[in-house]
Amino acid sequence: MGLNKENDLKFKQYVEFILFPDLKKKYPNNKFLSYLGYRVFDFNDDHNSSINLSKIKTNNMDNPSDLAQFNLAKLDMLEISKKDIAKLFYYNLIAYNNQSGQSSLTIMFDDIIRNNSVDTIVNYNNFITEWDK
Amino acid sequence: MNDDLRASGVINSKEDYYIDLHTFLYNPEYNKLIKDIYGNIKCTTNIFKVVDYIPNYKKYLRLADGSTNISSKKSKHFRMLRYIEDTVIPEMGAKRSKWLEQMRKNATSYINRQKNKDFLLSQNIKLSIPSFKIENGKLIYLSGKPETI
Repeated sequence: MGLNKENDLKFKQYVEFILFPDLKKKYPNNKFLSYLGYRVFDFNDDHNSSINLSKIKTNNMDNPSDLAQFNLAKLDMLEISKKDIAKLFYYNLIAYNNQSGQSSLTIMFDDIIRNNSVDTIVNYNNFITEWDK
Repeated sequence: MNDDLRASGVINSKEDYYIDLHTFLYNPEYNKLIKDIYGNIKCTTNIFKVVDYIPNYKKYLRLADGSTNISSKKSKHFRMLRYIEDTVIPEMGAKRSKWLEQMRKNATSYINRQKNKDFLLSQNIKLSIPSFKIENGKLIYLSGKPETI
């Protein structure tokens, strides 16, 4: 991955059309996963999403109900296996450039970054630290 | 003068008549050169000598130099951004502030993409996935071996 656009597109399609549905089956009670669909958190399509991640991050952090949802989503994320989290992280790098935004998964990795619990994300942070010198 | 200094790597300034503040503050030879040149053309006080005579003044200038240049010195991201701002954006002829703002956003986005791409390449990730295609938004599994991407 990262070598050419075709591979990246294939990986993106694999995550959206195969990995997301698989994860939903694997963790049927996971609230975070229930929001995932083709084009993550896309509010133009009808995916029954109600969490606007960027809004929570930037404007509504002091709103208790939004904050509760936000934390719940993050806790749910930690239930997912590290291997699948790594795939979601790669997906977020390729599809959303690891930037914050309404549709990106970036905000979901905050707790994992703080905990240093997934090697892929630790490697990424170490790489960026070295790269940005 | 600046041509020679640029060629020998003493200063980074791209302007012919600008004085490189950082080099002036930290390189004694350049400092002396500037003071001598200005000493020859000055009418009253040589303000560049004043910088050395008054320690507080020099420290203020060092503080100003540090606060404007520290990001570039410590971060490849900011060095790339500054390079794009100095070279690519002017060549594209953007003058209106809205265009410039958008181009800076694009430049930041480009640098982040490059950073992430470098990371993905460094990890040499190989993933085996089922053979499939997407047609009209529908997933269709294909027979055959899994693909490696």
